Amino acid sequence: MNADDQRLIAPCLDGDSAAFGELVRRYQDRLYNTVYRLVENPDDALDVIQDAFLNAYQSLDGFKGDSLFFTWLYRIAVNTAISHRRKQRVLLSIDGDRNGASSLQPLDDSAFSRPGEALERAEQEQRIQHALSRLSPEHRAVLILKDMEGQKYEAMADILGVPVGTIRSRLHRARAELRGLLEKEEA
Amino acid sequence: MLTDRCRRLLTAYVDGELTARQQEAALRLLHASPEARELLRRMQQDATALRMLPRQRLDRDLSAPIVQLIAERRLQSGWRQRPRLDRQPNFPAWAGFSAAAAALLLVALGSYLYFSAAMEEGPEKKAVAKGETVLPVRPADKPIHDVRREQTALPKNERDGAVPVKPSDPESVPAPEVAQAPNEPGPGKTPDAAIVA
Repeated sequence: MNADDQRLIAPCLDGDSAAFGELVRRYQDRLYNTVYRLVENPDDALDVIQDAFLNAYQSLDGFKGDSLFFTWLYRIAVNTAISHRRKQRVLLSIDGDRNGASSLQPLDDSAFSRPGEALERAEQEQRIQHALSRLSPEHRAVLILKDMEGQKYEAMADILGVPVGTIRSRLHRARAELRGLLEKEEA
Repeated sequence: MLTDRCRRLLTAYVDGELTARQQEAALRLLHASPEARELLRRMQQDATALRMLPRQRLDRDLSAPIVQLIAERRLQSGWRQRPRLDRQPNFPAWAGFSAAAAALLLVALGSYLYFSAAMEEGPEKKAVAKGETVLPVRPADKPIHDVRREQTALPKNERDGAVPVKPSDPESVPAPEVAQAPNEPGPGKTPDAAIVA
């Protein structure tokens, strides 16, 4: 376990919630990106992140220190997001024009000087995002963890609480399913 | 047509999670199969597209609102269930080992006694359960002789299963009661002088 995290966890267990605030500040961005991609809505992502941190605070004594604190926290957030996604009945798409509520930030400022490339990139993003949104929560989670977060099989197994073999199978099926959806759109 | 195994190998190749042996197998497959090369290209394209999705960042700090919620809801961090690792145990370590050793010894002794008793009774009990006649165990110093000859030598009523009459011990049999005539002295008694006269 990270020594810095341990120095903050110990006072939390003694009831010091201010120390937990520091942990929130440290990991909120990393969690947000994954959760956002899982639930596809900034407001829902905020709710999920908040719930995940509150759950983590209440179950802090369950953290045994045998993995990184962030991995443990990540597991709570991903599971909360997957549960949230399962409950959703309507698939939401990213709406970058939502007034005042959007947290999206452009990745490349030069997009404004090369509108053709920017448009093509935007279209590609829309296609991949649309295909991603049609995957099951479990398949979406493994693709996000692998391709967007760069996690290894073992870390993903730890985060999702399943064996490595299951991660391997899920990724295989997720990639095949994503490919099938993209081919259908291209056709 | 690529087999499922080949497709899985290519997925692991895209994931960068191949062993050296699997890497060689994947390269052989890619070298030999145009279909495999096309599938790999498409999967790598998809993975790149996912990686290129803009990274979402929060435009606010959630620490203060979350700390406030913890206070408002009076949430506990689970400190009550925290293991007291800093507390010294109340008994020495050797006491625990001794207790465990004693328990093991008791179990071993009990098992030995149980199975010893079972071995002694076991063969006879099993025979009786099957309805077989159980012969007494003959001591080693006594000669072996035919039991059937013994049985034929017995009187008929005993051979037929009547309760055998053992030769009686004279001292153990009570003396029979003899009916006495009136005025006749009992055994061991002298006659009444008045009567004789």
